[in-house]
Amino acid sequence: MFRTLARLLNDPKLQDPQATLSEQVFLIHPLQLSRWLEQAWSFNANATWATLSNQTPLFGDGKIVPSLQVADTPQHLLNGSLRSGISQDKTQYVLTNDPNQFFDSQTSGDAGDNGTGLPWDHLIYALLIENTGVFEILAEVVRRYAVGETLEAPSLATQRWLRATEELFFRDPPLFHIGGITSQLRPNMRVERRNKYWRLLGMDCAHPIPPQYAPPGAEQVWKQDVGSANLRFHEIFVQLLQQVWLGIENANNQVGANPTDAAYIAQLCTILRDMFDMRRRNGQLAREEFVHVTTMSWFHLTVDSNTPLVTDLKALGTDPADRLAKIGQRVGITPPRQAREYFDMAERISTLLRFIELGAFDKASDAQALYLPGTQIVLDMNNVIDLWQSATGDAIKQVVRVAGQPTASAQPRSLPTVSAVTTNGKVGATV
Amino acid sequence: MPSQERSTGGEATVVQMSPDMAARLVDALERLANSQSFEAAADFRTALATETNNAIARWQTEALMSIADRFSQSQTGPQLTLPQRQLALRYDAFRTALGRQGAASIVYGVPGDDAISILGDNVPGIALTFVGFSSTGNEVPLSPRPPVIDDGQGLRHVVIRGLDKLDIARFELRNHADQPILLGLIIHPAPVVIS
Repeated sequence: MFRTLARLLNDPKLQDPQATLSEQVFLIHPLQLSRWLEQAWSFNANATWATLSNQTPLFGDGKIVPSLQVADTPQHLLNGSLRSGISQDKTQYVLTNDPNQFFDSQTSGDAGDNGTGLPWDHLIYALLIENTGVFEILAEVVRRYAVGETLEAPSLATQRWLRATEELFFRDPPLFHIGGITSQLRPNMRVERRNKYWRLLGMDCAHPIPPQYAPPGAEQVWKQDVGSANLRFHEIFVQLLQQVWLGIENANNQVGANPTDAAYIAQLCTILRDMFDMRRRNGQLAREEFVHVTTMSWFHLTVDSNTPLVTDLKALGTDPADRLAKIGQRVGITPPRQAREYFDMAERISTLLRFIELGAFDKASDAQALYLPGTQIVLDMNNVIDLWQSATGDAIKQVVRVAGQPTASAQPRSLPTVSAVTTNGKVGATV
Repeated sequence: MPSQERSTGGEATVVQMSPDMAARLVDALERLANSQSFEAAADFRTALATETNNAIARWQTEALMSIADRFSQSQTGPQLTLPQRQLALRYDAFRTALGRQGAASIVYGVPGDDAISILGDNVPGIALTFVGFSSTGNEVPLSPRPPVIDDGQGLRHVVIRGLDKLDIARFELRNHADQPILLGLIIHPAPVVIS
């Protein structure tokens, strides 16, 4: 969501394809950012336009959004007394102005409150961004700045980032806030995130919880009392990538045998949609998903450009992974080799999964859009295939052809299965 | 028989083409000129299947087949259907709403009495038509399909008689080839729905 806000500050109607993400987000007071998140949740009540009739609604049940939002009728509380005061009028935010300003309700939340709604990313975005190590590395940066002087003196802009980061993500949110998902019952946000990754995606983070933040007791406590989890997600998703790659490879093949099977791709998409639907019945996980993708978007945005923090830590670079590696050196944490791939594919895979979740590719004719050239969908799909293969080592493009042997089917005899069926064990996939 | 003679020039290796292969290439180029590269590609594929012993001949045939294939693709590449293009547009618009950099597929429509004013800086000004969809996702029958009118002063609108009796929740702007290029979202004041 913070990446969306960063674009809204430069492009309030989202109509400029050249618009960049504004770093002024980091200069806004955390109280206003917190309230903007509360408003952003409610704006989503209008984000139904991507859904076609008779398709699966967003989040399993779109009514989950108004069910949990702060009241705003007949008198305005959410968009009145509790408004963020953040303006999306870009004439009010220029580089020479300090964005620490408060505007009346006529302008606050303009871009989200005009009837269009602001969707947010799929939970897999949070998992992939967390896998880069950016959360733990920047957490250590905040801690170092809080307890000592082992890093360069922070500039004023960096001090505002430090304050906002600590207040928004390393302490309990204000009471009755949509982001207040930690409590005495689930006190550890790191465990909470892994619990949701496990339930919806059947996958764990690529790295363990740092010992100083790990909960006492049993390992992988986030798998306890889960009941059902989508343990087949990884296998089905890899199979989908393999089949779409066949389609991309043969999209223009009009002469030889074409192993692409659009109906099988549609079937895989339907299975994935059904899996998500099972976990999202009556809008479950929507609130937690909102909180986790919002958290990770802040950290992603922090290393997405040469922000004041990056500059202060002398970590200038050409891409987020480079900057993160340099920051990691300053605090003694090395990000994974695949950080670049995780950063690059997080947004693409998030959009694709959201559309799969909406049932957009359930028909064979629609599934063809995943591999026929000429759309952004196939560009994203191709990138995801390349990056997923590089990051995970899953053989997406590996095709074995043996001369003189009968041609094997490009589709397996049976759908992929998972070896573990229990959700309380330690067996599980990682990316 | 194809020649297997090789000569090198600089860093590149040049394989001399046999008269047989040269004749096939001429034939393929003629077929291309007549928009028949699809058949030329099929010929080379057949030749490749029969030419099993001579490595150079196989290499030449593969290269020619690849050329013919590419020509064929450029002539008869797969075409997306209208529903697939609509799906792609919704996907682009969703990316826009997520704030993705580079994405801008949304315009806004403000309904009035008998017209919808279209707000947007990225709306091309020529030969656009309007297709409306109801809140349930079904196309609203509008015949003839209303054009997008540019008043010459930067404002665009679509005249729809009886607009207040129609349920139009979103719309598509389509170009001269009837391809949907922008997804339109109705913003306040919302249209009045008469049931």
